[in-house]
Amino acid sequence: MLLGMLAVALAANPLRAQKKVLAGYATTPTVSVRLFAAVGSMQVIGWDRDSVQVSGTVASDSHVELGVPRSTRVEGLKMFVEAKSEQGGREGALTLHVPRGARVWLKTGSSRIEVTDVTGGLDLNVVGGSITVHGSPRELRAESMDGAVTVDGTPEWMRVKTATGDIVLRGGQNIGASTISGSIDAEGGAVDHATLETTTGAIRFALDLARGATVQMETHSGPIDVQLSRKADVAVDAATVTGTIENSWSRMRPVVGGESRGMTLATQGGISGGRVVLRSFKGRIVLRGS
Amino acid sequence: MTDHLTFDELCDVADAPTGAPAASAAREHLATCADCEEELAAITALSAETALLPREIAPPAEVWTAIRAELGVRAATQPRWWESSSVRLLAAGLVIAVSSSALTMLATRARREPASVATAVAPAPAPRALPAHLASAERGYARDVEELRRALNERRDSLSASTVATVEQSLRVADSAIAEAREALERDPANGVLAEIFASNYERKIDLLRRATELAPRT
Repeated sequence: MLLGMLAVALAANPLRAQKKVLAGYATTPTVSVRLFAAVGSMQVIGWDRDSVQVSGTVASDSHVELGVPRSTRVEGLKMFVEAKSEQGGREGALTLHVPRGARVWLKTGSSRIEVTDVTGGLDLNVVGGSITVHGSPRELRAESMDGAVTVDGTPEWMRVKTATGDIVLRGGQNIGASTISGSIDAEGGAVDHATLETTTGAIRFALDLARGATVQMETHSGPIDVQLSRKADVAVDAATVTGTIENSWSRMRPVVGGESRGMTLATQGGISGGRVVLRSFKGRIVLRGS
Repeated sequence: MTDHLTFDELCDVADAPTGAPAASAAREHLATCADCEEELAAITALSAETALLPREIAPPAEVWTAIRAELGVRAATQPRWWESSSVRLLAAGLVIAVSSSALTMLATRARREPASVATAVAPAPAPRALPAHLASAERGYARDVEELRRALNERRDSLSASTVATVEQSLRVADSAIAEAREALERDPANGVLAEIFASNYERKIDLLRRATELAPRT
């Protein structure tokens, strides 16, 4: 039996100047949910039900649109919580339950976003808050300006971007991370294909490489610190224009360029091995063995 | 005769040198099958025609105009994957194709001569202008930056002061990096590593501007 509209309750709570929000919808297992939420914190949880439920509190003067109840399962939902003031957008907390296979688009202002157990697609956008993703969505796009992005899982496909926020990853099949001055820290898992780039931020890479992995790291002036297994059958191609390269991963010594500026390091890998490309303008490149 | 050669087999014959053993069985069939012979002739002719095509085709000016117009629309409407219409997909495809071509051109041309990272910043008597292909790429980036800057300025008031400060600070960092890489490229325009970093610095700046523009609410 289809789940119908459960409830929509908007009750003012004058003590906290917030009002409650509760709504539910019967959906398809792969429903697309689009939510603009100007709230203090936002939690998205994947569950084993073909329904979407949004609950929590928002600033009492916020404008809330949670859609219209329908008698059939919906394939797409659009919901809005708009605050009247910047302060109002920092208040309250919402929890969004979605089918695990849902695709969720979520945009907030300064919220802390935390997503757990969604295996579908995630498109998360925050200005000043942080983003934390637990689990391994099939597709993840996360963008923040100055908030940190932490992905505690291994998505199949992932693109993370920040301006100044730090990025923490655990690997995945096809991952990309880009930041201007934030740092990128990749550790704790394995990777097939990765592109990590910063302008001034530090890059630290300590992921295991899948068979035939390709990894590219590039920075203008941030340091690059790479830890590779000494047993890894991988080709390394490193070059810095004016920086330095230190290699304690293999016996190969970096080549110093003319005018005593810049260095290159190239090692050969096996047929089945991966390839790691490191580029910097003036950032120091360090290769370590494990 | 019903056992005609498959399209893949015909392509193998078309691509294989005459007398190659891998294609000999197929050629025996072709000698007795007019249909396959005709199909092979068509494939061979098509292959010859495509071989004459230039490896890269610069997009006409009006395509850039359309892309920028679409970028303006995209910035205003903030589409995501489930909102894709055929028009947006086409525009996105064009953006990717044009960007890829520009970057490929930029990187490959710079790599034609062995890149010496170490000589990239060797002191030169006087800075030189960028070579034509890099200058052209930079002009394209500059146009994108200008348009996104304009769009951002129009919506600036709708962003919080802290967001504006973050964006401006990051833009200054990006500009500084671009200037530094550019100066080095003037001295060593054939350095492929420098060309990659120069392009990447621009790409990150443009992406930052795009994202900042998308953050601003619609007016």
